[in-house]
Amino acid sequence: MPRQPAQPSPPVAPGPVLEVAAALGVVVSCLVLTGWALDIATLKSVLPGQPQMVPNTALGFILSSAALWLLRAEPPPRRSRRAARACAAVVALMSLLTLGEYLFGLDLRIDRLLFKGSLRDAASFPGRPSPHTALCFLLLVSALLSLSAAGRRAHRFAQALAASALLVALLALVGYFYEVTFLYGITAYTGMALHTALTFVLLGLGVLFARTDRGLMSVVMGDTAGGHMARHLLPAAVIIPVVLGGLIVRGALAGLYDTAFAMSLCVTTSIVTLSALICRNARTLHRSDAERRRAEGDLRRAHDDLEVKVGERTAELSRVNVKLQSEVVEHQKAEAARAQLLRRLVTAQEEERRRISRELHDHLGQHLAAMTLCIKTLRPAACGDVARDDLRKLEELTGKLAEEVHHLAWELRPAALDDLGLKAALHKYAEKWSELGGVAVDFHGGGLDRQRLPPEVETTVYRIVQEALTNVLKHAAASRVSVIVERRRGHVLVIVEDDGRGFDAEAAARSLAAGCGLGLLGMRERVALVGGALDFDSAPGGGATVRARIPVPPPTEKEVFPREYFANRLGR
Amino acid sequence: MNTLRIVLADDHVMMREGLKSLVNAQSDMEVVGEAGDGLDALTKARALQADVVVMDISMPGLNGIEATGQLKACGLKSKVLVLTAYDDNGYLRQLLEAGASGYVLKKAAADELVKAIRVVAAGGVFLDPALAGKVVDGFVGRKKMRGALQGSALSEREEEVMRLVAWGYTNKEVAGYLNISVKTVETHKTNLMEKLDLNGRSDIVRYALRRGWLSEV
Repeated sequence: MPRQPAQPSPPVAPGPVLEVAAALGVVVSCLVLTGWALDIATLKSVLPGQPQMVPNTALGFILSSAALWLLRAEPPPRRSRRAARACAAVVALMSLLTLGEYLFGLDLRIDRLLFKGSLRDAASFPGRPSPHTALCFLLLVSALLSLSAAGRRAHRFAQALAASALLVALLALVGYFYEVTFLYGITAYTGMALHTALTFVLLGLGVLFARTDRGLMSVVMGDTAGGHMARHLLPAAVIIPVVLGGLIVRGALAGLYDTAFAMSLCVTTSIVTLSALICRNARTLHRSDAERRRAEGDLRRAHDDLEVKVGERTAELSRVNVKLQSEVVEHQKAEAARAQLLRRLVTAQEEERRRISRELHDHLGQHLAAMTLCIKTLRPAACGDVARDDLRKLEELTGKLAEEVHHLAWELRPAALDDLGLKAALHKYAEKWSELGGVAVDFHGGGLDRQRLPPEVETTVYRIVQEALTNVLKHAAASRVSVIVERRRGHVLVIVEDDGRGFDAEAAARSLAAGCGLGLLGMRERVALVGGALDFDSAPGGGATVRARIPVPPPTEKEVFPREYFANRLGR
Repeated sequence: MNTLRIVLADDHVMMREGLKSLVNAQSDMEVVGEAGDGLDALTKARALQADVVVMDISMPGLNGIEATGQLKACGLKSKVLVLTAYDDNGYLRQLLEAGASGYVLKKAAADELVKAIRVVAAGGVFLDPALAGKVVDGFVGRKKMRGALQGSALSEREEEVMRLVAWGYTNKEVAGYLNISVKTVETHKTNLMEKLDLNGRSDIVRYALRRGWLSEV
């Protein structure tokens, strides 16, 4: 099974961590500033005797919170991004200057810009944030600036910086809890206030949760086994050791046990709690892994089943295909046989017609003509009016009979088609048709005089023109018909076009395909037998055109018509 | 007045009998010989110094057209009068080309033959009235076409339509080729036919032939 490329799983919704952090940061800072304004000690330092949050720090928090708030969207709007950078830059400048003051023993007069009067009782540097605070601010605003930049790497960097700030603040908190002063402040200067540390933790978390789809946070918040584990273990890994350790340390300080015991107690409880956590987590992972494997097994089985089915179906299809192919071949053979049969039928029919036509004309016709002459010569010799009258009637009758025989022979197959060629035969046919049907015919034959067409082509052309003209008389109600037979380079073009009422050519083509419209179908088959094609075009009210193209070899230079032809043909 | 010497050439004995009695009934003519085929007719005409040979077309051996051609080629003075059942212009044309002087249809033999023999013997040409009409029609048709060629003032599009129609395209195909509607093609066709006084597609093809438009197909 092909491996799917790893898709980043959708992160778990983080909740409004950033918004809450920013809001609390502002609220705490405002409370502290109120405390300074109204001189309320609890608001300044929370615990009596402990370091205070100086006004500059509170100001820094307000600006940092504002920057965090402005950067909550990804990507942030251009104006918000600028404003956030400005806020962060001010805080960064302040913390850099503060650190500079500590390092070089300077007083840059920035510590007491606010609440000058109230900042008397503070320790060595009244109004100056502690070095921890300044460092924390530096890390936090660096994280914010990094967050304001575009790109995944910048955001990963921001998370690392925020985590560092968080760590420093956490150390301060641990210091408060364990009463280790160094961790939150240097006695000689001043310390990080408890609520300062808490606010740093809040804002640090705010930065971390700003882009949960990036960097480490994408793992923590991801809907994967790793994310799940991180979310379960991380809070416990932070809180449990701190709480346990704190309690144990307090017990040692109260003299309940010595340091070694406290240490071993701490190690033991850590081992137990962490092991318990890991076991619980391992069980969850184990369960989900087992489930995944089962699902994979199911999937593989389904896949195998599918392959088997596809194989069966393919085999079946190829069997059907082979059968179909052989059927097609059979069909082609049958079609060829049918065409062959039709050709033979048509040839035999024409041959028979030719024979009967000749027979009628040469024998019956001649006899009748002779008879007419006999009667004619007999008439003067007849005596009596009655006999003369009867003879006249007989002559008339014989004449009519001769006429009919002649017409019948011509209808069956005109001798002119063999003796004189297609053009003469068609000319005559068109003329007679026009006479009988009362429709004007304009016959044009071109390129037919120099050399005869192959006999089967001549017969075919004659018959389809006949059929087309019959159709015109039956259906078209035309007043004029054009008949064109032109020998062109490589083919004979046959067109019969009338100006009659026409028909819906597309509907006719459909019924033709369905096997109806036998007249047109018959013509088409007839033309196909000599390798040609027949089509038609018509529109209601716009007349109709029947057109056939039959391939013929281009005329040779040899003069065949008419002498040689007659020598061959009439020598019967 | 000399009696006209007639040779009858027909492969049907009965027909010959009938003709013989018809001709011999005339005081000024006499059947001097009969032939059952073309070659026989040639020989008899020469040997008997026939004035008129009444010739059938379909005969065994040498047919009527061949026999007429050879008779004329030999330089014989005998006139040839064709008597046949075929009323096709094609036969008429070929026989006239071969040197026949007259053409009579068998159905009219009883009434026309005697008259025809006299006309032909006198050096004239006799055509059966039923065929003469068609010959005249042919001449008139050709004359009309000449008029059409002169008065041509077609638009460019009309000429395009006309060429395509002459080449054998249907209205629908012309419409597709020129990217116009079938109705428009029909309108162009009607207009150009009116302008050139043409009637239908056959006339268009003939016109195109005369203009030399079809030399490339």
